[in-house]
Amino acid sequence: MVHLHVHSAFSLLDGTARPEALVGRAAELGFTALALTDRASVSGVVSLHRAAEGAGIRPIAGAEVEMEDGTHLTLLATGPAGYAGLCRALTAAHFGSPRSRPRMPLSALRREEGLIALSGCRQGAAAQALLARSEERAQAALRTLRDAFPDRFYVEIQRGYLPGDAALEAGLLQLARRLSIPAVASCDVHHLSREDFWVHDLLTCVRLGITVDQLHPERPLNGERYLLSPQEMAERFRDQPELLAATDEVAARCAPALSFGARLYPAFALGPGRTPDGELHRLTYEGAQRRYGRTDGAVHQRIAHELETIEDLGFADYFLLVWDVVRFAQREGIRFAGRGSAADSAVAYCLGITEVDPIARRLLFERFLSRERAERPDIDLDFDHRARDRVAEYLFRTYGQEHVAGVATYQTFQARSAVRDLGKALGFPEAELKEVQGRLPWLPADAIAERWDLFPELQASPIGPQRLGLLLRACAAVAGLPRHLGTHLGGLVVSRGPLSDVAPRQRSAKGVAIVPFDKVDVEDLGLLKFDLLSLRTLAALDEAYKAAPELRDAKADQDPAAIGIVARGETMGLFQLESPAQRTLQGKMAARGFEDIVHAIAIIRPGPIKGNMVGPYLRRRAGQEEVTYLDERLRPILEKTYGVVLFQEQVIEIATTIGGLPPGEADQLRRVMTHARSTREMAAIGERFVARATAGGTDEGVAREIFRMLEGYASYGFPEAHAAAFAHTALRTAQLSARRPDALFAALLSQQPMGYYPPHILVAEALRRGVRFAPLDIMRSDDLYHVEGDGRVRVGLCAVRGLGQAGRQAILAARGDGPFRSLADLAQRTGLRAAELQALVDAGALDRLDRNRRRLLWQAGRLSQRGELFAAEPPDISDFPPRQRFWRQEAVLGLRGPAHLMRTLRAEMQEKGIASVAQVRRLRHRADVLVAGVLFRPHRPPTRSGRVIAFFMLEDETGLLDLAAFEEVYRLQGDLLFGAPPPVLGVRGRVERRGRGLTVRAEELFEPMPL
Amino acid sequence: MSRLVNRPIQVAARPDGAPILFRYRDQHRVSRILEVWREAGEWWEGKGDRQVYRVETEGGGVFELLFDLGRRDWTLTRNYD
Repeated sequence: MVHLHVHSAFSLLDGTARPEALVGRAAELGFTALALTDRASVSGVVSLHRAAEGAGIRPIAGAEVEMEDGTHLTLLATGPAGYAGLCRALTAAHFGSPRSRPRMPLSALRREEGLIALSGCRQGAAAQALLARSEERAQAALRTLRDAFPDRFYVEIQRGYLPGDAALEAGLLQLARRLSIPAVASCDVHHLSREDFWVHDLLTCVRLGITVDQLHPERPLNGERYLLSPQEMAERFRDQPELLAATDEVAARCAPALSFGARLYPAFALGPGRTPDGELHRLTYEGAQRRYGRTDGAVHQRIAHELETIEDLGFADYFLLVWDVVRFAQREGIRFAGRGSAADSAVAYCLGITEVDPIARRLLFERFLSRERAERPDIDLDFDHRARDRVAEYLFRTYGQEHVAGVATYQTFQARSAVRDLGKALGFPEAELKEVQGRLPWLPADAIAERWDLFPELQASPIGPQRLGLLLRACAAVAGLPRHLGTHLGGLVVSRGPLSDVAPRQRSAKGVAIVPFDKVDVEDLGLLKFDLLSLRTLAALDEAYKAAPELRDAKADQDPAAIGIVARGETMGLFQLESPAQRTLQGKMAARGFEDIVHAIAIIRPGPIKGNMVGPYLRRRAGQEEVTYLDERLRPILEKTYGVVLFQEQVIEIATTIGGLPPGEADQLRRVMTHARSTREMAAIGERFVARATAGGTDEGVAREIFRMLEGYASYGFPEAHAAAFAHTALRTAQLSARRPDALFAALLSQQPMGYYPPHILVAEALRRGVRFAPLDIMRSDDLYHVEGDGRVRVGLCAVRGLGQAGRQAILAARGDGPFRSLADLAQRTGLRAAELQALVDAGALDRLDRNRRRLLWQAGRLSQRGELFAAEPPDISDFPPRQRFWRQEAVLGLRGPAHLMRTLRAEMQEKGIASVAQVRRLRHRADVLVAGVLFRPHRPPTRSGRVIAFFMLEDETGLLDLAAFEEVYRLQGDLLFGAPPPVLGVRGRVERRGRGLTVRAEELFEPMPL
Repeated sequence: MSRLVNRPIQVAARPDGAPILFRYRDQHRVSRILEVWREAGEWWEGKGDRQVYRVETEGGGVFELLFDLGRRDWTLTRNYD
C-alpha cells in the first residue's frame, strides 16, 4: 500500500512537512514507496529522492495541478521520461498563466505518455461536478481525462471524514465502473500526523490572508489528511480493500524520476577535430606564458597536475565556458573579478578568470577541486552590477532559452517572518507584532522562545512570552519550512539538453526564467551552475578610474600610499575594510603590506572570531607573544599567520599533515566540521581525526589539542584564495582613497546604495579627507557625481530623491540645446513632472535660474495645479530662512544626517559635561568619558562564548565613534540599542586605545535629554 | 429544511462511539447513521475535535449529533424537517 497523493511544505503555506520528514515517517511506518504531489511544483523531488535513497523508499515524483477550468488533477511520473513530461507541462502552465496561479492546459498533458493521472481531491473535475449534483458533467469530465491518459487514468477515492463523503464516493465509484476506469485510495496528505493539523490550518490562514477566527471554504475542516500508517489506511478502507491494492499497482508502474550522478553540463562548442581537454590545455599554457613568462619547472608541474585532475573529472568544458564568459566581459569592457576558492587554481589564473597567483602564494588546488570529493567546481565571478544582466543575456543567447535559467532560493521562515505572518493569522494587533518584530534579532524561528531571556529588548516588549505562547510554538513548528521561492542573486544553470528534461521553468518576480530548485538541488540534478554576482564596488572602481585614469593600471598591491591609508585605519569607503570591526582591527594592526590585508580580510569572520584567534594573532604579530606550534610539522603551514589558523586551506593542510588524510578527504573533513550540527557530531569527527593522527605517530594529546584548534575555527572562514582576491580589490579602493579621494568618493556616492555607510557619512568622511564639493547645478551636474577641472566633486543628478532615471536623461538631452532660461523653459523642454521640478528646486539645482527657492516652488506648484506654464508673473515671495533652506536641501539629497541636530544641542550638552566625538578622540587610554550622539548600526556579532557583546557607533557633528557594550550592560540596557533607541543616546564609559584604534567601552547608557 | 438547535443532550452510544439513543424532548432511537464526519475545534482556544453524526431515527426524523472528543459530551446541533 502506498500514499499516492502527498503534499510537502513545497506546497507553500499548505503542507507542513519537508520531504525528508515525510520519507522518514513513511519508512518508520513500513511503506516501501512514497509519492510527492505538491501544488504545481516539483521543488521537493530532489529532497524526496535524496532522502528516499537512504531510507529504502521508492520515490515517485508528481504534482497536483490546477487545470484551466480551476479543477485539480493529480499527476505521477512513471519514471525519468514521465518526469521530463511533467516538467514540460509545468513549464507550459507557468509560462501560459499569471505568475501566482499557474493553470495547466490539458493539451500540455495529452502528449506526455509517461504520466499517470488521478482524478484528484474534492477540487477534481468529477468530484466538483458530483458535489454540484451533476452526474452528467462528472461523467463527461472522467471520460475526457480517461481519453487524455489512455490506461493511465485512475479515479481517486479519499475518505477524509468530510460531510458528503459517502455520496461523493458512491457517485465516483459508480461512474468509474460505468467508464471502466480503475479506482485507487488516497489521503491527500498535508501533514505528518493528526497532531500537526493546527500548523496546516494556520499556514492555510496565512496563505488566504485571514485570521483563525474567519471562515473560508479553503480551510481544512479536520486533521484527517495526515500520513496514515498502513494499518490506519486498511482500517479506513476496510470495506474496499481493492482500492488499496490498486495503489500498489499504480506505484509498481512508477520508477524513480531522478538518478543522481547524471551530468547535464553543456558542451563547449569547438571546431572539428578539437577536444575540450586539448583546447583547455592549449589556452592554459598560452596563459601561463603571459602570466609567468615561462611554462616549465614549478609552473608546468602545477598546471599539469591541475589539468590532469580537471580532465579526469571531466570538467574541461566547464572551464572553457567560464573562460568564454570572462572573454565576453573583457571584450565588452565589463569589469569583473573571480572570487572564492577558484583562486586556488593556476588554470583559472592562466585563463584570466582570477587575479591571484596560486603558485606564488602556495595555494592548495584541492580546496577548489579534488578527485576524492569529485564535486562540481564552483567558480564565482563578480561583475560590475550594471552589466551583470548583459553577461547573463550572453549565456541565454549562446546556449539558448531552453538551456539557461536562474536558480531559486527557498526562502524559509525565520523569526521575524514567522512572527509577522503567524501573529497576523492568530489575530495579534499589527502594532504589537511590529513592536515584537522590530525587537527580534536574526534568529531561526524555533529559537525565539529558548533565547527570549537573552535579549533585553525582547524582555522590554509590551507582549510577554506567556501571551505569545501559542505564537512562539507556531514559530517553532514552521521553523525552516519554505515560505516562498526567491531568485538566487547570481546563480544561473546551463544544460546540455533542454532544461525541461530535469526541471520546469517559471518566471521570477523580475520576469526572468528560473528553475524552482535551489543551488544544492540543481547540482544534484546534474546541472552546471554559474555564479554571476553583482558587485557595486566594481562599478564604483570603473567610474573612479574615469576620473583618475592614471591609476587604472597602477599596481595597487605594492603602493605604500594604499597600504598606509589602511594602516592608519582610514578605511571608510574601502571594499571589505570599512566595517567598524575592520577599522578597529586596522587601528591595532597597522598593516605593512599586501599580506596583512589578506589576513585582515580573513580574520574578521565568524570562524576566527569565534575561535578567539584575533587577539593571539595581533599579539604574536606585534611580537608581544611568542609564536609556538603544537607540533613542529605545523610550522610551515601556520608560519605565515603567526601560528594561528586563518584560512580554510590551512585546515586542509593540517588534516593532511597531521591526520594523514589525502587532500580531498581533508577538505571533506573541513566541510563536515563546518556544517556539524551538534557537539556529538563534532566529537565523532574529532575521534576520527585523532585516530588517524595517532596511527601516523602523533602523540594523542597533541592530536587532541590540534583538533581543538581546528574545531575553534570550524564555522565560517575564508579560503586564502578568496581573501587574496578580495584584497586586490580592497587595495584598489585604498589606492584611490589615498591618491584620488575625490575620484573614489564621487564614485561611491554615485553607486548608492552600497557599502556600510549612508551618503551623509561618506560626505563627512570625504570632507575630512579634503575633498571639496560643488553644488548641484542643472547645467553642470552630470547624472553621476563627477570630478570637475578644478578638482571639486560636482553633486550628480542621481542624488536627487524623486527624480527618476527618465527625468535625468531628459535634462541631459535637453541641455545640449542650450542653457535653460527659466523654470518654464526647463519644464517645457524636459517634460518633467511638478514633483520632479520641486525636488530639483529644493536640491538647489535651479539656483542659477532664481536664487529664491520658495518662488520657484510656487511656480512649480502652479504648474501642477493649473497645468499652465507661468503666464502670470510670480508674486513677491521671500525665500526660506537659511536653516530651512538647508534642511530641505539635505532631505532631498539624502544627506540629512545627525550633524545638525547635534550642533543645535551642543551648548546644552556642554553644560551637562557631555563631550563631542572629536573631544573623545583626544582622550588618553582608560579616561572616563561622557559622550552622546545619534545611534548608528548597533549589532551583535557571534562570539565563541555565546555571550553577547553589542557594538555600535555614535555620530555627532564632529564624526563617528565606535563603542562596545558588554554583556552586563547589554543585559540591563540593551533595549536602548535594539528596542526603542532615543533620538540622542548618551554613554558613560571608558576610553580604550589599542594601537591607533579607539573604542569606548560603555558602562551605562542613558537618554541625555528629551527631544 | 433544517433548524439549528445547539442543545446539550444525553446520548447512549456504541463502543465505537456511534449514537444509539438520545433524548431531545422525547426519546429517539437511531435507526440509521446517514453520514459521519469530523471537525477540528478552535485549536487556538484549546478546543478539541468533534465527531458529527447525521442520523435517522425510528420516528423518521433526521438529526445532527455532535460529540466533542475533548470534553466527551454530546450536543444536538441540527434538526431536519
